[in-house]
Amino acid sequence: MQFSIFPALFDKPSKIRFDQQEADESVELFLRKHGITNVPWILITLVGFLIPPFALWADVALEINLLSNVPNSILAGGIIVFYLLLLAYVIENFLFWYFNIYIVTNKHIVDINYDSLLSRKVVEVELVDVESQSADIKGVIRQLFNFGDVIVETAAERLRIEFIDVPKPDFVADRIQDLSKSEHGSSNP
Amino acid sequence: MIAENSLIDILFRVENVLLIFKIGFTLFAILYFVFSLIVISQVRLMTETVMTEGGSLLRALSILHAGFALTVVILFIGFF
Repeated sequence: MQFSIFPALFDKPSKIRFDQQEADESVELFLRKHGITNVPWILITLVGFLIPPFALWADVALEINLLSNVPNSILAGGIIVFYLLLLAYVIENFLFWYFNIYIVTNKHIVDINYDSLLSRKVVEVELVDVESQSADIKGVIRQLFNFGDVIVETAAERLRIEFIDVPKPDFVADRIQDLSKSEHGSSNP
Repeated sequence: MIAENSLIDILFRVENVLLIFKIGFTLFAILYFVFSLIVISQVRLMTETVMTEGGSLLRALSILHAGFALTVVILFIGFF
């Protein structure tokens, strides 16, 4: 099942680069978490968006008269504060999704982690160090939308890179294997 | 006891309650503006780390968002 509102897999993208990219290095795969993983926070946002009008309506309709006794300026200020908090929640979740990126090049695997607004971590391993890779699709939703985890084990300091909830994990693991084999071949002629 | 009662009376006068809320809202709006500046810097850092087609749009949106946050600060200071 396709879900392309938030594209999360780019195969050989020509217009994507990263700052540690070498001159003869090309991006083979560019991945984020599957777009469907955004649904929970989008639903929470939609519900949150409806809370103030619903509360105002319920206050009048059910004759609670709690909000109608609050001065208009305080009520308006409270509603603005509520919507600002909601907007901050949306921004934080969107940026978290947008900037948690996995890049597979013809030489490296790059895992860019954006944990919060104040931290960023970039893990880069060479494809020649890749020892094994596997795809893991657990659960009905993941099966339905074809997304899951790709786990890459490397020889370098027993580093393990996990691509969490990426689209088409079998395809991604297969591509990493192909690239790793060709990189091993070129490094051991 | 009399002094305590008069303090409570002063605190709970309508205009004082409004003032307390106004200060609270304004402080929140200033904090939100600081948050929007952090978002700008983080978006700039991340779009410099990974260059994508949507990077410039995202940077423009983050600046617009900071402008909006500043408008809210002015709104709370001026109109409440």
